[in-house]
Amino acid sequence: MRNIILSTFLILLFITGAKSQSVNDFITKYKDDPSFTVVNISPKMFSLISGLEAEDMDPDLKAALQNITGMKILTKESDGTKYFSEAISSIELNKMEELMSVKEENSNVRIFGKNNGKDALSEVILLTGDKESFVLMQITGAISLQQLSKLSGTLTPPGSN
Amino acid sequence: MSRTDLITLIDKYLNAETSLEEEYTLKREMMRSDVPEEYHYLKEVFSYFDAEKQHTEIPDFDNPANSASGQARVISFSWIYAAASVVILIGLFVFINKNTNTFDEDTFQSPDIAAENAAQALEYFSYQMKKGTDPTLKNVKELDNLNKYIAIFNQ
Repeated sequence: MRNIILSTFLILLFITGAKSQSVNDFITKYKDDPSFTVVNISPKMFSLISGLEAEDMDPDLKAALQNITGMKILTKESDGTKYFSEAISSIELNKMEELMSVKEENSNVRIFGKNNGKDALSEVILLTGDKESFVLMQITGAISLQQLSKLSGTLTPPGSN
Repeated sequence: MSRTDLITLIDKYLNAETSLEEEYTLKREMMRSDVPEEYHYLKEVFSYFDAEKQHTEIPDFDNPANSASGQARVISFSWIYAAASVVILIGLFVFINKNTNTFDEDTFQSPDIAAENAAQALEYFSYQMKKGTDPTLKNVKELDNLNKYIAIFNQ
């Protein structure tokens, strides 16, 4: 009988402890916490964006936006290292390819990507964490890193204004 | 039964001190026609009990306590534990896997504001990506993969 009870608890622990979260699960976990900023731009919204005639927008930026179908962002302006570690350990990233990992003193940046089979990325996940901030960003679509590398690269993450 | 015995028996009955046999005896005495009038109320009580007893009898009820087999079914606690474990596991599985609280709602209602924020996000992404290509930074890993994807689009 003790064996049955012990086995049951072990199975429960396995089920609850070993379950990886999706980015969506991770964001959902903190979306109601007012200390986090959450941004979701749906495929429907991106289809509207692609129809905009934004003449003053940088052509590279415009081209990059045309190929994106979804974007989810979670940011926090404190305890970045803590949430970075939690995200790295709990989000299911093993099906993705690690594209970049930069570790500076008290600062981490990691980028993961999923190939769409056509020499482009169908999904990229950016995770940054330092003492002052945490950013989780998931972009879906047909993403060209070359296109993104052409952008000017300003520092401010969205939602931090 | 002498009147004295009857009075003694009635007193015992009213004090709840009679045995079942004595109660039957008293009842039998009360049902007789020559019951003293002062004890007619007891006759009515016993008649009432008889009438109500018939009402409470359920026809065709087979009392298991009187059945020949007389053995109650015993359910093993092992099975109860096992069944409870299965129920808990199923409940936990359903609880963990339910995805009712998804995050799919658009943050921005206006495409212009959404585009502005998406552009800002891409700029931030680009900024972070450039950290990986900065030769002055140490501890940069996995650049081969990054360069592979960048090179693909340079072709």
